[in-house]
Parts: sequence; structure tokens; C-alpha cells
Amino acid sequence: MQAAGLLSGGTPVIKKYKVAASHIAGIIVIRSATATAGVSTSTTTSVADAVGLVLERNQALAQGGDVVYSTTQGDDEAVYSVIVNPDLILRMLMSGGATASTALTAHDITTASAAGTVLTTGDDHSSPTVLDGLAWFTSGANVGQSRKITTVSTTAATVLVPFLNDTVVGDLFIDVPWFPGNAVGIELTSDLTQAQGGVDASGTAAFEPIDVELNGTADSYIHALAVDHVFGVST
Amino acid sequence: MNPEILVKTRWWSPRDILKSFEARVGPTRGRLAGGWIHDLCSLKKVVLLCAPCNPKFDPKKLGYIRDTDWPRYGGKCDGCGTWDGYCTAYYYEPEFLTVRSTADERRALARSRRKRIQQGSL
Repeated sequence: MQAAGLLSGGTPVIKKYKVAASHIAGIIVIRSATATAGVSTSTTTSVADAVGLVLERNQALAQGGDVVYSTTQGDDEAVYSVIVNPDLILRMLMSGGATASTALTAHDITTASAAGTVLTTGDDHSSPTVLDGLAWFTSGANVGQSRKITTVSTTAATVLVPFLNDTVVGDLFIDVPWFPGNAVGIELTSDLTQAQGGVDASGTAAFEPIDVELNGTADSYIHALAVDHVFGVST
Repeated sequence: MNPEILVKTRWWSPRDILKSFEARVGPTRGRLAGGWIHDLCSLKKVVLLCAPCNPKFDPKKLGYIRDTDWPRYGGKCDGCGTWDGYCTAYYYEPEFLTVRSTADERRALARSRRKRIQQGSL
């Protein structure tokens, strides 16, 4: 994930923190657990007590290889720069699976809708559910338009506000379980750097979506805040 | 009269040298800031410099770029170890976009989106 801005428009603050495990750049670290050597790694489903975004992977001075967290005397100490602002806007690529950079699924319309509200496909939209998520067309007359999904079933996703044009068989659209301003979480990819679509978002990591960049299956982004932050007003 | 006590000068032990590799803010004892920052750069770490230390650093020479989207950072200067709310951050260029999204990058993507919509497919 990337640092995209600060909600308050202030100055980002970088702190260098000791870590209790090896990390890669672009992940959230969380509050140090008791009796550990430093801040801990988040998980795909939890960023509770977030400390901030890791800006660098650690490298050994000698060979340029990664410095791994170590308790051996004489080893390099693993320390990372972290942006610690609680209002940091995080930009995450939407991934279609647990593996980072998996393309999102583009569903094709199998039954036309003259009203422009029912997106009928051969795919299940109720499990994992995209209810209260977002659908946008990537081809056809409605290309680029997006709507909030208000009803889901095993064959269709329905929107309340119609798309401007009829949907036609063969039109392609993408649906994701997130909607800006809606209180849902985000499950992260296994490397903790991207937002994983294609899973039920409820009960996952405590992010609040704030914005989206709706493009194709491989270059759509979600902007979110880690709302359970140790330096926030309440955690 | 007390006899004169000679104290042997402490020199760099192997352990001291290893300790000097630790990533801490500001140069370690007995090290110049410039050498310390070069070490940080060889680790591809983010370098944060306050206004007085800033002109002494040449980012291009070391493959670093300045974060112009955020011209001000708060943090401890890697040169002098002082907390300053007006620091400049330098990132190792190949890894910059891994952790930072810039307006230029988003603008290019928005342009590409408009073009693709005109062509009928995102």
C-alpha cells in the first residue's frame, strides 16, 4: 500500500521503530505486543492498534540482502521508518485474490436489463457477498459508470439507482465489497500490501474506505484509513 | 601523594563497529553525519534531513529522489538527530512508488482511464 495523503492536510511524521519481525515495505505495523522486541506485523484480517505504514524494507549493510529480525548478539538491529499519522490515507491496489496483483473478476451480463438496475450473470454475488459494495462497468454503453449494490443473489447484483443505459448481454462489469463511507473492512492480500476483493469484507481489517479509483481489472485502487490506530483519538 | 593513574584510551572494538551498523537516528558516537547517511543510503532507507543538513546531501548521486508531493515531513533529522517539523524526505528511487502515491502517478492513471473510456473499454 502507498501513502497517498493526509486527511487533515498536515505534515507526515516519520518515526524509526524497532520491530519484532521482518517486514516488507508498504505494510501496516501494529502495537508492540508485551515482551516482544518491537512493533508487530498486522494480519490479512486485522490491523487493530495500527502504528503506521512501513516505508522501507530493511537491508544488510554488507551484502545488500534483507536484514531479518534477529535476537543474536552482533546481528544488525531491524529498524524501520514508519509514517505514524492516524489520518494517513492509504492507497491499495484492488486484488482479485489472496495473491497480490491478481486481476479482479470481470463479470459478463447474461440477461439484459432494460431498466439498467439488475446485473444478471452466471456468477454468485451473495457468497462472498458484495452487498453494499460497488459495481462499475468496464465495457458497453455504461463503461466507467458505477453504482452502489443494494441487493445480491446467486446470479445477480442489483442497484437502486439505474445505470444510464440498458445493460446488454456481454457487457462487462466489476463488483467489489467496498463502498466509500460505508463501514466495512478490507481483507488484505497475503503479503499485506493490497486489498483483496472476492471475499466477504465484513469483520475483516479495520479500514474505512474513503475513495476509489475505478479502472480495469488490474489497475483499480481503493483509498482507506486505518481507523483503529494507536495514535488516534480513540482506539 | 596519590600515584598517577593512566587510563587506556578506548578504541573501536569489533562490537563497537557492529553496533555502528544499527539503524538509529543520527550518527553514532565517533561517526560523521555524512558517512552515517551514506550507510543509510546503501541500506536503501528513507533519509530525513532538516533544513541546515539538507544542502549537504546530493540525492541523485546515490539514486535517491526527494518527495516533492510532501515537501515537509516531521521527524528526527538523520544528519543531526534533531526533531524538526520542516524536514525533507528522500527515498531510494526504485522503491519510491512502492510506498508513495504521487499526484503525477494518479493524474497519468486518470488520463489513461479517460482515454480507455473513449475507446469503449476500461
